[in-house]
Amino acid sequence: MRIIEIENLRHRFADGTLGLDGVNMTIETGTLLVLAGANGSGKTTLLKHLNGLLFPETGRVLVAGKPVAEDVMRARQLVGMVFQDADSQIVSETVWDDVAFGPRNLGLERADVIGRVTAALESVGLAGMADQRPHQLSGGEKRRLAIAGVLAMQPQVLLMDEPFSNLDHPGVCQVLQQLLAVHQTGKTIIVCTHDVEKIIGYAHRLVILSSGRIVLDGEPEAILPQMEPFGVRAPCALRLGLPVTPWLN
Amino acid sequence: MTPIGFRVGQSFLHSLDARFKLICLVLLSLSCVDAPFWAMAVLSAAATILLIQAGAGMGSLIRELRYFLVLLLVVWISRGLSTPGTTLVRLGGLGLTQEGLAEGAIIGWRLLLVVMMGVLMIITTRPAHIRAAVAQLLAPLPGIAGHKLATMMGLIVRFIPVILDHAHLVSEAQQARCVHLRRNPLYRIPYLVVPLMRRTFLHADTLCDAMEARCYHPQGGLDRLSAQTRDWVALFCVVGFCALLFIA
Repeated sequence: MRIIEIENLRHRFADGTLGLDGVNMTIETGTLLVLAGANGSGKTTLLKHLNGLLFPETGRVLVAGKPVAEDVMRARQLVGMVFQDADSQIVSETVWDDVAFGPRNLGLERADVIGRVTAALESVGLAGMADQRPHQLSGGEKRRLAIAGVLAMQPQVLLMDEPFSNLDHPGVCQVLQQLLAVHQTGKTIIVCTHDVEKIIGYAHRLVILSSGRIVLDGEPEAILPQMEPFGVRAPCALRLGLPVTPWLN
Repeated sequence: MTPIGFRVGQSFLHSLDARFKLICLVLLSLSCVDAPFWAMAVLSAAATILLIQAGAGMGSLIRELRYFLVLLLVVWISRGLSTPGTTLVRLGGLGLTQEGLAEGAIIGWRLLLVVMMGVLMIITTRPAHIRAAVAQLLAPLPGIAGHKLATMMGLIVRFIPVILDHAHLVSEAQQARCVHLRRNPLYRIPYLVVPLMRRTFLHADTLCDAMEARCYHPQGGLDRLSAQTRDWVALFCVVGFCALLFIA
């Protein structure tokens, strides 16, 4: 089943710059897709269109068969987005309240909110930190809290914008394990990054953006050797002539 | 700087409805303005007991309020110097008077009591409940968007530590380039304020996107509060105490 369909998507910023130029793509349910490209290639802009934070100049985006522009709230519920800077995404004064922010916005009953928050915190391993202040968490914990805040809305698709940036090695491992655990539950995951090394061993599909256009799209094995001209560094293993293995190994 | 914040607990105040606590806080704070000595003593004793019961460590509380205590000291001395009466010590051309020090101590005590009650409110109430209480109490007032005001309050509390962190980072980056060698603070201020403001506004933009991505709308996102018998009893006691002060 196609969970996301993008048809001839074109986006122009207020200053006249073309952010996306004729993007066409369909994504099947359960896919783990890596969206890579150099800075300014349009990765984050594309993600924002999937979540209804931006709307196209021309073209359209469909989530589960329905255009995003027709029902933005439905799109935001079905497509959760984890931002690059977790500090900007965390809006509440305690871990519990932050995860409850989305379910409360959906107008759920208190018992449902408690159920969703408890489940989301347990799934990211933060159940024991419910009453802590987010400001006091480590970088990896903040990123996991941001994931929990999105999971509590029970989305079908999880968008992650540069999920490994500014994290130390244990933080990267925690977030990667979390991401794979969420994928195991059948959700579609789209990871946007300019550093494919950590995630590519698990990806089903690799898409390279350059100047707002899709320049490469296919299975990672086929795309990896061709992507360096577009500002994305190939994994070390590939440079050494070795097969690319899962990063956690 | 460690901000005073909510602490998990099972105390009597933890169990009260945030709306009732907020009304009680307003009533008692107003009463403090002109309360007699005995009432101040009763309120101080009650506040201290409730603070201990709520799990607030006195040491950490004094540490967190240290700047406020310095302000109280300044108020006390200023009052002592500016009030006519029996001079105890002469400092330059000004005299520190017995009556001034007594008045200053009472003013300081009143201010400290109001702050202690505010701290009690903060450490025994989830921030989300304070927001919900503000929104619900302001809802009947025309022309005031209670929900938006409550959301703004919550975001300010959440982002003060983040902005302070940014300020610290910007300041360190400036010092790494020897800004401290510039003696004139007017020269240094723009180099701190401009990058800090730019970063804060960018942060605010991302925050708006993140809130919208999680289906934010002004009417949503607030807990539903429900009053119990104990809330009405507590309010009745506070109103009775305030009425007694008013009559006396």
